[in-house]
Amino acid sequence: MLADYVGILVILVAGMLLVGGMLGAHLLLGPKRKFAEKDEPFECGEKPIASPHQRYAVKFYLVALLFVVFDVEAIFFYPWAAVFTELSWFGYGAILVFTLPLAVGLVYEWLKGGLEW
Amino acid sequence: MVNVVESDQLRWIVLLPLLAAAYHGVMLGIVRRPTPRWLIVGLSCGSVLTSFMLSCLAFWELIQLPAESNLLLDDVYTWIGSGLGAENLTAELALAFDPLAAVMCLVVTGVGSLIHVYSVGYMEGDQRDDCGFQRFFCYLNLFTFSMLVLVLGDSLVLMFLGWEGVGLCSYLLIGFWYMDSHNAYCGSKAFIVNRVGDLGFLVGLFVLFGALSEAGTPVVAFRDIAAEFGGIVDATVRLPFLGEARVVTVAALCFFLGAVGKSAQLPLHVWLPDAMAGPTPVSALIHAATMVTAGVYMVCRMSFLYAASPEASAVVAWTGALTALFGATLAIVQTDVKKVLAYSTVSQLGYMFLAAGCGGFSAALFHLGTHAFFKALLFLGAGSVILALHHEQDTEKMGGLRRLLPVTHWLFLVGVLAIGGVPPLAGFFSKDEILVAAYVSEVPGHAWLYRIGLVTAGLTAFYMWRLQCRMFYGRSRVEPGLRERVEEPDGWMSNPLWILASLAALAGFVGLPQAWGDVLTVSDSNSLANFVSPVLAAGGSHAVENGTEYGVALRSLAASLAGFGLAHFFYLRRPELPGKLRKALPSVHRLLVHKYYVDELYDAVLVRPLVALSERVLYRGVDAKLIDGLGVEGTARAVRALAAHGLKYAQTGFSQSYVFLMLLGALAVVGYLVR
Amino acid sequence: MIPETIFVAVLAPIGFAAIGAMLVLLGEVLLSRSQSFLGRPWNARLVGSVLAGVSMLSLLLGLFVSIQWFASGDVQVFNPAHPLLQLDRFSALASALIITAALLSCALATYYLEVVGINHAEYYALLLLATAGMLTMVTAIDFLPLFVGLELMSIPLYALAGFDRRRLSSNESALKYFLIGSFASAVLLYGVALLYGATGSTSFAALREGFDPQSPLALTGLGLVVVGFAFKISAVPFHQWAPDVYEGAPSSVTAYMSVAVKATGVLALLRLLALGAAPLGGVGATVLDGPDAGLLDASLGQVLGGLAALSMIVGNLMAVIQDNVKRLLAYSSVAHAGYLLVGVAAGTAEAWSAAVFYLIVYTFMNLGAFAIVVALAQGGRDCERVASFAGLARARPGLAALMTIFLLALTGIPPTAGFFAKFGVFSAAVNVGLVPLAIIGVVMSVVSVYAYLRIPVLMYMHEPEEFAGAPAQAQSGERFVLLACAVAVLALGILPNGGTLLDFSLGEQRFALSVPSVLDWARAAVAFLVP
Repeated sequence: MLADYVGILVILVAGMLLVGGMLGAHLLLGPKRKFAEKDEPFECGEKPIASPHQRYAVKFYLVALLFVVFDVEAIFFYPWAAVFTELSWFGYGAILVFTLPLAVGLVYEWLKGGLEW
Repeated sequence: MVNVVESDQLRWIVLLPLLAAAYHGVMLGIVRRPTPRWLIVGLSCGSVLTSFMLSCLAFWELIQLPAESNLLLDDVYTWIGSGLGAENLTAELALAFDPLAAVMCLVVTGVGSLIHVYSVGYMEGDQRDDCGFQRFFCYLNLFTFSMLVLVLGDSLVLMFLGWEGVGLCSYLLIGFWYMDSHNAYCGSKAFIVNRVGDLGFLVGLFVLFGALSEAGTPVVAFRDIAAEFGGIVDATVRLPFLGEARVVTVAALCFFLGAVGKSAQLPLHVWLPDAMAGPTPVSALIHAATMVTAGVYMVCRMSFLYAASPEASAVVAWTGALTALFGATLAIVQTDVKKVLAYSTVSQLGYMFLAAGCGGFSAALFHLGTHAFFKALLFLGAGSVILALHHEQDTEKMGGLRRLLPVTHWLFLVGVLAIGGVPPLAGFFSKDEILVAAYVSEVPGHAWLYRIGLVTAGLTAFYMWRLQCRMFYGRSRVEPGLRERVEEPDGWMSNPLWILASLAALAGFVGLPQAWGDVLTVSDSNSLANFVSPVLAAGGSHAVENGTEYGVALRSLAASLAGFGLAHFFYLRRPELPGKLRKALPSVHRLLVHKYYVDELYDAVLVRPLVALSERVLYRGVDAKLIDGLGVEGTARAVRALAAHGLKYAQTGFSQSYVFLMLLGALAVVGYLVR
Repeated sequence: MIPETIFVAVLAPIGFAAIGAMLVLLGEVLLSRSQSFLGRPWNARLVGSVLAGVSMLSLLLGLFVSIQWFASGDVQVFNPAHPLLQLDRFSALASALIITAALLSCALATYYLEVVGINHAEYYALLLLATAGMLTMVTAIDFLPLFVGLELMSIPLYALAGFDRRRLSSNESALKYFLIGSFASAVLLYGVALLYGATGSTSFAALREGFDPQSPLALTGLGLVVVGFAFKISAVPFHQWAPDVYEGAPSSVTAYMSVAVKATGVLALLRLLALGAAPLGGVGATVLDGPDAGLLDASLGQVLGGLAALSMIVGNLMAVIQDNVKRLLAYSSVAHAGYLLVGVAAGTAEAWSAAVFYLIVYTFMNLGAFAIVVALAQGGRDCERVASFAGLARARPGLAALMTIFLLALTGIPPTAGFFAKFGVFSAAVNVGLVPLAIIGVVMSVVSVYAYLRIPVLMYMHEPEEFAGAPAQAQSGERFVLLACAVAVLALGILPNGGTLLDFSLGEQRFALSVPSVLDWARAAVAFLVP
């Protein structure tokens, strides 16, 4: 049973040996000269003037999150709309159960000021 | 097989004192606000009195039962049921009220409530400790609860629970005035000596339960053991060094060791005289009327065991007889009133075991009851005197108190006559029963047992009359300044005394031997024996001819009168004689004053070597270095070190490493499953 | 397409929790923006209390329904055509237990939130949503609702862990929990996917039918699912998040998490194993011979047993060196996961009943211990250093006594319920031959004495720290929780089999204080799983 997977195991082991061996050889053989400039993020002679991590305003995330939520809601609405007549009132009730919590969430979001830019 | 009648009232008998104790405990320990005195008194005395009334009701219910059933059972709940892994043991938490328990329960709650009431007066002026009054009643109620568990518990396990409980309360109450280190020492002594006995009880329980389990009937309830007992009568057990022995004998002897500890028999009697360090009501309740009789009760409860083992019975009888004699001789030379009464208790308890060993279980029970009345009376009377003399216990500083405390004098006199065996007071009949039992028994050397009993009866009369003379008659040796301030006790204290005195005077008639019943033309006069006999093993008691009965009674009466007379002569007529006698026989006197050097013997043979061993070897060597250093602290240190230096480093605080470990774990789990 | 019949009652416990959550959310925004009838704005404290009341009411309704359902013993599937959720004896008892934990946590939080300065009503909404998720998990008989429930439980908990958002450690707690929790969810989902691949369905029944014990695919899937659950109940080696998260999260959240999540994890695992994996067998040698054998596959039993042993060892050893009470209790909860897993691994009806009983007891004793920590919080800070318990017996004798009771119960000392709980689990393990596990358990219980009893020693035998002011007074909600837990811990310890106390009649009226046999409840619930 497991013998079927021996090939994978061989490749796995070979890959690990290859990578490990190269890194290990580098660690063992390579010369190490440490000085302060070498530890800097940009070591090409330029002093860094700002952190490379840019901060975004949290509002973007909020909007993005809301977009995802209601986008997914819309995705669920499409198939429902497609078979609306067959499902009739049962489908209506079911989608209501789905929509209601989202609506409550929207009301909360709105009143809390989450939609203000 | 007895028919069991369910009764769910019994639990209240036990619970009420516990509830009162719990209330006191909560107020003392957690709330810590002073409780009004009337509430303390009302709760404590009320709960015990109500217990007494409920016991009376249960007793009434019991005697109304049809002839074939003589047991009320209150199965509270299944404590250890099957299904929690213990398939072979079911322990019910149940209370059983059979004639034996009924007698004991009435004594415990009856005398107990009288002593509770008395204590209100006695502890009134006790200001040594700001919440002492409530603490005292808390312990006293707790004691009543434990004692009732011991008496009413329907299984060995419950009895052991009560057995340990009364031991604890006894310890707490002996050391009640703990500020004086001697009292605390006495409490510890009582506790430690009792532990020796408790070990015996436990071993006996295991031996018996082991044998019953092996026979396929693992039961712990008394009535079940009695029913299944036939299966193990001939079983044997292999003992280390001693070889094969009958289970019955081994168990009986182990249980008796427990009784020896609890009931202060030779050689474990040393704690009882020291237990007098506690307040006097405690001495009356615990160390005279109830707790110390637990051993006798237990032997009666297991009477089928002793009846099946003549060897064990002989040991019981001889231990009892020797203790009776021993205690009586020591009581002669004591000058402290409570010490006299303590040795007297030791001696009377010996009497009870003498009866039980000779198969006279109902005689033992009878004496247990009457002794509870007159000894409680004596202790409480002595307590009144002690309080009136501002905590003076030495009879050297009493004398002539009849004029100062006339009421107490008369009440005390009733007690003295009762214990001395003057007819028709209670002690005469119960002591007589015991002597008859010894006279007709088949225990080896029973003739000597009887003679020892007779001598002890005389000695009892002697030392009690000596006490009476030294306290109430003759020249007053009370300090002059104190004499004017001596007052009779108040109603709280005197009324219980009246009740106890009437009981001590009249209780003998519940167990009137048939021989005397014939004289008075009463049929079935020994109602107590008839009442309890269904639950006791027949033992070696035989039908006694009336002639024998009269003969034994006459001889015991003669011995008592001789004792009284001699004491009267010595201590009232020729008060200089005792001194001369002391000078003439210095070695005997010294022997008695030093209590046969038993304490010194223990001190030299056991205590000091043990202390030295524990101090030098066990504490400094084994405990401090080996057990503490290597064992306890070592383990603790190793555990800490393992956690602190090993495992701790796995907890890096970095999510990455956590996830990595989880990954390894998941690989291990999957790898093991797939394999 | 349209199902012929659906049984809405099955959704009732979940529905009450979810509707309660929405009401609380709406209530919060509406109340805090409107004005009271006196013309003043509602203050946060009042809003908090009102909404705590609303959430407790909805939980009470759910509890009532669950108990009713448990008593009736009905078995009902929400949509018989497509069985996803099923309410039966087991899930009803599980729901009742979880709702009880949530209810007590709500009562516990009311005053605490104000002390710590985070009195926002969203707390209750999140708590109710998490509860709804837990209820979904224990009602599920299909992997889909199981996973949906898991996420619905986890995500509000991530938010709750970071609820004290101004405190750095709370943030750290939330972030760690979120990261590692998502990883664990992913592992579980991966397992579910593999099982789906192996059996072609996500329902437990199909798993039971189509599981091939020879197939590595199916076994890997099962293993990963077990790992996912082990993470949720914080069994070693999937436990490392627990101390960090428990320490950082607000104490009332930790209290809720430590009992409710663990209960959900164990109960859902039992349900999955019984309904989905019961006929496993034939893999490797079976150690469990005899009539009791066969509930669990041997290797699975050994894996669970191994996790149990590791959890008991690591949890108790690490608890010893903690000097923060919340961390100590976190490791203690790791250790208790181990004890619980002993019962699960033993794999007999007796053992599983013992495990369920243990869970019930654990809920009360652990919640009680955390309630003390919560009650002692003051001035916006938790009382979390072990050293700050010194001399508590003098200042707050009642709290000290209760804490001692809870710690004794956690240690497993009679007459507290902890003793019978442990006794049941270990004796069940011994009965199926898992003696080594029982030995490890007992030895580690001894080690745990060292960890737990440090606190009573400090409380009773040491002087209070000099600069410490008077500790906080317990408020009514906290008192209620403490009392309820203490009563439960003692009652279950003294009367594990139930019984009637204080039976007396007064005239015509008959009064009786009957204590139900909780052990019998556990047996009845497990009897549904393992007939």
